[in-house]
Amino acid sequence: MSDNNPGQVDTAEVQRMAAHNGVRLDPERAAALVPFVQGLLEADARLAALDLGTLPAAGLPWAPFGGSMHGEGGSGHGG
Amino acid sequence: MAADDILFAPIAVVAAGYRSGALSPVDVNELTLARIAALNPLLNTFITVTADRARAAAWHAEQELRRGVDRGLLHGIPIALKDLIDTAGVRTTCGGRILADNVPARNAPIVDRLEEAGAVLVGKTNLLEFAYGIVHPDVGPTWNPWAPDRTAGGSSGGSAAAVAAGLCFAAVGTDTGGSIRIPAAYCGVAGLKPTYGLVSTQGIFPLSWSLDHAGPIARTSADAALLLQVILGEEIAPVERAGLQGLRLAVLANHREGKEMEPAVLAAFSAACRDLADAGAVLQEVTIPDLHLADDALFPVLGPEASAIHSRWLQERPQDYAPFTRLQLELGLTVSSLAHVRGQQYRRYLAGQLLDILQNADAILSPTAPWVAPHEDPVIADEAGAAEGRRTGLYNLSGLPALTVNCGFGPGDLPIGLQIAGRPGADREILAIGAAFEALRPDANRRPPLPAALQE
Repeated sequence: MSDNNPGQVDTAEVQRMAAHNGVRLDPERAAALVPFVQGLLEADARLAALDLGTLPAAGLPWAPFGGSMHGEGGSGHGG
Repeated sequence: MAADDILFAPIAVVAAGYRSGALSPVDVNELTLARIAALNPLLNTFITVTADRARAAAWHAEQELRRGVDRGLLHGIPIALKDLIDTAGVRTTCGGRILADNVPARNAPIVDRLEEAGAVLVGKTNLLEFAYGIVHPDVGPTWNPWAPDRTAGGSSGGSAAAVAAGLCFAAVGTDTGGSIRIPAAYCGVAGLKPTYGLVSTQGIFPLSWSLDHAGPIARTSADAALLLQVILGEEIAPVERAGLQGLRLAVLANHREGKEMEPAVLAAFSAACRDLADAGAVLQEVTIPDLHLADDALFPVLGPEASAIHSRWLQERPQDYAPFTRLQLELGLTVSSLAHVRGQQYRRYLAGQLLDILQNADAILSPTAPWVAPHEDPVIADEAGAAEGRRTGLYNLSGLPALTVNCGFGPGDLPIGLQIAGRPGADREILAIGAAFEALRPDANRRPPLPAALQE
């Protein structure tokens, strides 16, 4: 699946996703998740399209280089 | 002073009464416990009422104050805690079956601070299960004091309803996507999600480490500020500003719009903006491009963290969760690591956009929720849940402080919230703006209609 084309997810795919994280879902439970998972994949495709590059994914959101909690902040734009 | 007037008085007024001898902590606590006994069966606000402990604490406070031992404005004041905050010797259920018999050995540090300040804990308040999915059927919903056939909101609904109904003077809630501010708005009280990291979440059962915040709920911004100062271990000082003249307020146009917006909420928000402008504030409209992506980023951050926290129980005791809590926990297992990271990156991007606005504004305004209290809490993972939290979740993602105060009433005389957000660390400033706004609206903090249960 590419970032911008999530494709269609099915019950087996949802079972595989959960199994990767250590939980076995029976087909009924996995099927109930399919529309939600589809929505999440589409949401992720929209975020991927934003292309945030090397913008940090850790630390305080307003302090791009891990500054103090009450720092002056500054633009987090980048990437 | 009539019992209702005492129980709805500002904390500073009750505190002054204690010191003048006009009021006593023991009497105020008994009034509080009597009101809880009358209203809790109707509202389901408390999971545990700590009556014996409260009586002992109130007696102790009274003795200390008589001896001249003064612990400050919260000394002898009845307060409540959301039932996921650890209290030594008092069960902490997280609103579900899995921890129904959990009795912590230690207090959360914020509880220690409240006890050191002499506050009287009257009980542990109801919440959505683990502050997440939905009401657990063993516990049941918290009903709204303004309309007991509607929800008080989630997840800190018990805390907000207890404050609104006069069952305590202030309470502590937690907020991961709006869980302090949404119920506070639905119940017509003030609620602050502080700057991320400002208030310790140690000893508070986590939902999502990177989005969780603990904060105060009270009937006014001044009382919320008082509670915040105590849980931060600060000297208590009034949070106020000299009027609104020249205050620069950005009106977030994205959040005035949307098909989910109820006309009455928009009208109340517009009236609040007009009142602020009439009082001298300078309002400017701002728009954030791509803000709809905040909806897309919230669950990929929150969901996997929640599922990691619950992974063992999800495998061993899945049937003990409420059905929608279980569904959301299972859904969190399907978020890819890349999606989680992209959500985290978006937080930086969003914070940068908000800080750009705040270079030219002192605070950002929006409605807190798009509608008045509904009959049921929506599920977080579906469209209604996203719409309910659309105006609050961005401040969990960005970590910026955000306050809700009442700004009017909509259909059915149900409260409507105005959200005021500020720069990181500007918690006191937005509380001061909230207090200044409340001063423009003397009826904003009116009491819910007296339920029949109390008239008998």
